[in-house]
Amino acid sequence: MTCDAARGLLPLFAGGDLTEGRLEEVRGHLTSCADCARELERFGEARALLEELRDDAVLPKREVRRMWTTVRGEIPLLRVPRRLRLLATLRYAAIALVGLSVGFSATTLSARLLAPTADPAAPVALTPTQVPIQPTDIPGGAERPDRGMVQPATEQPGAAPVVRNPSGVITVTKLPVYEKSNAQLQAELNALRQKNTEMEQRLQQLERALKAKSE
Amino acid sequence: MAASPDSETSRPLQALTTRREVDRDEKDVIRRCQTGDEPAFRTLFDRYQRRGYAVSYNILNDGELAKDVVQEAFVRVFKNIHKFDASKNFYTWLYQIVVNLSIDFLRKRSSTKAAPLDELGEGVKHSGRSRSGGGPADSVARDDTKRRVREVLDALPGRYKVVLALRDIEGFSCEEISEIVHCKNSTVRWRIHQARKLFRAVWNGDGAKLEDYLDEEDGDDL
Repeated sequence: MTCDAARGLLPLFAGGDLTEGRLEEVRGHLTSCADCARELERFGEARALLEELRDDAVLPKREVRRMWTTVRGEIPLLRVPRRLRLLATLRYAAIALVGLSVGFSATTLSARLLAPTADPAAPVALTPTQVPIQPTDIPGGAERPDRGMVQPATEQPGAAPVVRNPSGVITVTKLPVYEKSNAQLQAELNALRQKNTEMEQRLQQLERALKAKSE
Repeated sequence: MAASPDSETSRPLQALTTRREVDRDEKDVIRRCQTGDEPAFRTLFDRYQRRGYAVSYNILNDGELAKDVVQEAFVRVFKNIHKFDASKNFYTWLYQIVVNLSIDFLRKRSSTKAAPLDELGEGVKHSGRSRSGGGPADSVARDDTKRRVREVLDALPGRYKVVLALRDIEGFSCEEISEIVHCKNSTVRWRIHQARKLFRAVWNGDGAKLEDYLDEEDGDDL
């Protein structure tokens, strides 16, 4: 092989892009020609300069995320897998529970703040007596049939107001907040707090389940 | 195909040990994309965005434009993923779009920007390479060398820039490049041959003339 022929092939030889037959020919020539070997070295150097640019162009993660957001926004009809749909449902359920819990607490608190400050030491009958009361026993009972609640005739200051509901069972829970004594409200508040605690525990369970699923 | 589709890629791909596993995984990901599965799209994006960006950046020498190109390429690919034949290489399809979009940008830019090769050759004449050493001065010198290499690369005709970016910088095989640029293998090798000669001549400030490196096949600058 002549030097001219060999030099014509050196650009490809430098990058290992020659076919097997020509590769051997050039290799044979290079072992006996120092000038061509130097020429090859220069091609090798130029190629190495380009190789140094590899891994030079890398976007920061922030930019990659931004690019993905743009690309994603352009793709129509993406389907969310069933597993993620379930997680989304659980997430909404947890949010709804939190909302209910907050609403419940707020209602309880406002009721407590609106309650009249009666004598805290006054005796209060909190449990239903299960004793039916005749309308005749309660003056003014007939005047308020729509509300299903009346004040007892023997009501003392601070005593528990009694109510007869449609089934005839006496209870104190249907009175307006401002008609209840502090002790009554306290008892109801305790009950609500307990219920609230239960709901919060349930909420935590759901959140833990959600977290475990997403991991 | 000689080279792996992407060596950097995402962790799930790295965990796959053989080429066959990579292919099987990729086909599965593409099938899921074809059913509209969002995480599968994300997987493909994570796997190929870096190299797509690098290819475009090496052709355009402009980070913002390269970002636009990669975004647009992924959007086109994902919108047409249902038409993709899973028996073919996904990455050559993607990089083909990246290269075509980059060339479109080059065409737009070439009307406003022209760098004479001989002038550039004088400007980048260098005093040897600075590979060894790890001190701040070496780092500065290395960055300067890279900048000048990019200047020379940027001044080459588009078709030469493309093959150098794909072959010498990103390490694609000639077969892969012929798929990406839609040319015969022999044409690709000829372009690589001419591109290396031209790059070396400009880098050494040999007063290279572009006409000497264009022939009938290269009648169109790009």
